[in-house]
Amino acid sequence: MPAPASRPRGERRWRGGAFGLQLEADFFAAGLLEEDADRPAGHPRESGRACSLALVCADELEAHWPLEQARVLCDLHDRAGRRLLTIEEHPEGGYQFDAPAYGRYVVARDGGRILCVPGDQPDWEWQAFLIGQVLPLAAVLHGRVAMHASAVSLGDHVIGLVAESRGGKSSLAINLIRHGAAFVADDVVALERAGERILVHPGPRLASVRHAEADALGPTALQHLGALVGRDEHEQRVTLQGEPRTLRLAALYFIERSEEVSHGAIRELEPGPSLLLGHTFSNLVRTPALRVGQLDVFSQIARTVPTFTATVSPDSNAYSLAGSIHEHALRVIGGAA
Amino acid sequence: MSEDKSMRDTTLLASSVRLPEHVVHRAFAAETVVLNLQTGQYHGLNPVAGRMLGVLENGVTMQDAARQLAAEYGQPLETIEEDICGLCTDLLERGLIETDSAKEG
Repeated sequence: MPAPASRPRGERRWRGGAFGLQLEADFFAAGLLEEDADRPAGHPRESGRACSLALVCADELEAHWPLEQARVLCDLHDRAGRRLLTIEEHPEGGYQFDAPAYGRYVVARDGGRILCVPGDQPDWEWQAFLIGQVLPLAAVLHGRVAMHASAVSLGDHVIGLVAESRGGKSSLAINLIRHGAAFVADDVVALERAGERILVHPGPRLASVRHAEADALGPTALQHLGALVGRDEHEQRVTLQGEPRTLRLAALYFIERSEEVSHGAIRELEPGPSLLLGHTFSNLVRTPALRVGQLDVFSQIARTVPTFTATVSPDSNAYSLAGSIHEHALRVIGGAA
Repeated sequence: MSEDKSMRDTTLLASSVRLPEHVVHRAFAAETVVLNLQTGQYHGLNPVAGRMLGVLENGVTMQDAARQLAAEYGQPLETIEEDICGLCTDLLERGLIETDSAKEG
């Protein structure tokens, strides 16, 4: 039974957390904003930086977005020349995401507020854009380092999975869950340095499952995994039971596709700065403080977090690779404990 | 690197270096990254150069740093002095360090 993607908007306020942010909003979002803000929290909440989200009309958003002095950071078009996404920065107004297919969003300069003017799509679609593109920027503005990765937890430790776009990290995370891991984040991981440790803040409890992966899982395993929020021609969006705690990053696996190395081969890797910095999720914000924070996190990972490459062959079986990584990660964690 | 840069420069060796406020560096496993926050440019140093910068950052003269590093690496002092002069000349040209003489001058 599909989970409701949204509830009627109104006076009710919803609460949730992701990427180390304490979120409060005037709309429901499956996997992100599900707790009624007027009721006591269902479970002890991790502390986090406050960020409010509000649905506003276009006029209200305009009032918060002075067009003059805005600088274009990113302007993407498709092959036919249609505009896909424009991101602008304003010295006082913050950052605006303008995506004709998903709506307009303004993130305050301090990351403390996001104004949303959604597009006409089903809620789950514009919320996927909000969660996947806009919210990570708010986390970065709060000092988190966003890495293009997925993550699961094994006990009190987080295992990070890094790959190129569509490189199989979501499939791997889902199959690690089938091996007993808990879900932490899909596609974006929010990191923070705390002394000698790198902490991973859980992301929204949502994952994208490509249709081929859903077919491989079968309907029973898919239903067991989580509730369907929505689907498009490429993938299904499901809510998952997730790890609620902020935990230490214990190992990092870079997923590589190769025909030359046997499937499932895991080799130790000494990650250089370009490899790690190259997987930064949002490079839009380039303030000195954030750049130093990024360098701090990645140098600490390079020096203290065991890092490996895991090879996937073209005829890959994500479940068996997940099994190899699960077994390997347990040994790494056991050795570090 | 030009020939004169690799030569021992006695004036340079007698000076100490400091990192400007807009320059930070962090050690990775096999590389040190120096970031110039004014230009946004990253620069990579190999482990030996990274170690040299680490020693120089303590405020010692290049000559004292060379002595310490020559002992650490078991290399002739003259070789290390040439290397340290070459490194500092490069870093000075890129605005990643300042010498006390440059600061005064």
